[in-house]
Amino acid sequence: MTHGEFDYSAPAPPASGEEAVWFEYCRRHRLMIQRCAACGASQFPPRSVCKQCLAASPDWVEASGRGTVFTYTIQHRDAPGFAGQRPYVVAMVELAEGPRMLSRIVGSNDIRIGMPVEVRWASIGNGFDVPVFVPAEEPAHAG
Amino acid sequence: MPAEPILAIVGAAHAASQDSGSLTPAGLMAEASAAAILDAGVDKGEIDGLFSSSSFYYMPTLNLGEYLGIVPRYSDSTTIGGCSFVAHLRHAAAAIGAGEMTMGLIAYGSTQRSIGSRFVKSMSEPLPYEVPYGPLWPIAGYAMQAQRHMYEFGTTSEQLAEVAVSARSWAGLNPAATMRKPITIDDVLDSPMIASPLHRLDCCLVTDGGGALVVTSPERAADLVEDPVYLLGAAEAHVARYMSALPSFVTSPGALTGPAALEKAQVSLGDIDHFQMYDPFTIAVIIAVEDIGLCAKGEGGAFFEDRKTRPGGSLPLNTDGGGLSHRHPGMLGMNLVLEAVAQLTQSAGDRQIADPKLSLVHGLGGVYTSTATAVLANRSGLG
Repeated sequence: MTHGEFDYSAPAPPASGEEAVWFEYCRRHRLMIQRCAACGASQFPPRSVCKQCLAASPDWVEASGRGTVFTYTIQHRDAPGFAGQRPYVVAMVELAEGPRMLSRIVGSNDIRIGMPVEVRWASIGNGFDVPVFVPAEEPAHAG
Repeated sequence: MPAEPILAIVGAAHAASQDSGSLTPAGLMAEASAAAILDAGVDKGEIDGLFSSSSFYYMPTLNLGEYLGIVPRYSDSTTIGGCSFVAHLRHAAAAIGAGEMTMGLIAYGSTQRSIGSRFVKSMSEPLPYEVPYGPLWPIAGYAMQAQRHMYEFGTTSEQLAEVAVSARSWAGLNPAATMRKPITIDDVLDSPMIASPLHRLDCCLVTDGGGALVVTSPERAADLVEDPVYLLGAAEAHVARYMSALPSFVTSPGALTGPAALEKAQVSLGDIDHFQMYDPFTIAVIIAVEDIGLCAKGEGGAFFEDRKTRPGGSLPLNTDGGGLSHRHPGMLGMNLVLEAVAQLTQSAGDRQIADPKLSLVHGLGGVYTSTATAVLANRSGLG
């Protein structure tokens, strides 16, 4: 992983509270989800309670960083704050642990649903690093 | 036998100046309201319930009441996206049934086009986990639904395009429509790609707009107008706020509200003469016909191939030209109801369908994260 290879500019995410905790993990390049100690459910985005059973304070756990493309779109218009970057791939990535997250697929615009991907890190300015995904050589393995 | 009506629409109007760019959102809302109140033949002082939703005003019923000099005893600014006004019909019926009001005004105004705010104004509270990736709001959400629908069911761009072609062919019969020049499937496919697989012509217009409805009990309606439009049943649901939290990218909450509204109205899909479905993007209508039950899940693309939704076809749908070709002022729900009223009161001009009795209005909100469905009838559609 070459730091800087996938960097791009983006507006600073307006994160606070539990959101800010997740972005703080991202600064250390740790892709975190939550797992409920009471019922075992995994969830993303992070919440103050388990979405399944409402137990308080789900545990932060590090995801494997592997997943598959659940769906995607190649955008041919600039979103506000992203001038000059088109076309780029916005995708829903289904993590190996189960939860889905919005991200970008970088390094290729040759995308298909179901393709294995793995996490890389992109600096977007304002001190934020965020997870992005690249096509993976091998199918994603669980665990 | 259809259910007993729970509400009556006795006045309905578009804002006359909605294309002029000369009024504020509240100004458009008030202009339409005055016309709807005149249409109903009621005194302003009889209005004791206000309903609105807005991307422009944080407390829209307060703006509406102040602008018109109305002090309501019932106020509801429920905001569940563009379909809010369909949900307001149901809320008004509940309020009247509970004796909390007698005469309601539901109103909307938007200057989305004239202020040049394309796709931005409707996205308050961006999700921090989405912001860094630059998804076009709300197109990216629908584009990802279309992509997944194609993957799971083999839906094609040509099938999506037929939804736009059908809407445009209805718009050709509507002098008020923004875009009336006929288009072909190839025109849609040849228009620029915005967010794959959605082309420019798969996307709704961005226009200003305003509209209003006066609603009351079915009993009171009988004293007011010759041709009230009745609400037989309605339902609403929401499953998420953000595109990345959608539980499904191929099934919408319409799978809940479509059947629920029909069940409450005690009618079957085969009884419906006219359909008005929220069409921000072509894929939304394909998912809607599946979720409502007009065809099986996955067959929505093929459903449109025989052109049955075009003028003269067996299933008149979006007869004003819809959000794709008539107008789309940010929130389309009001226009859905206004077109159903136009058809059911036989006042739709060249686009009038023959002798409609029942109309199904199917609204959505957010990025298909909410829906509200209503079954409307004229006097001949009652049990």
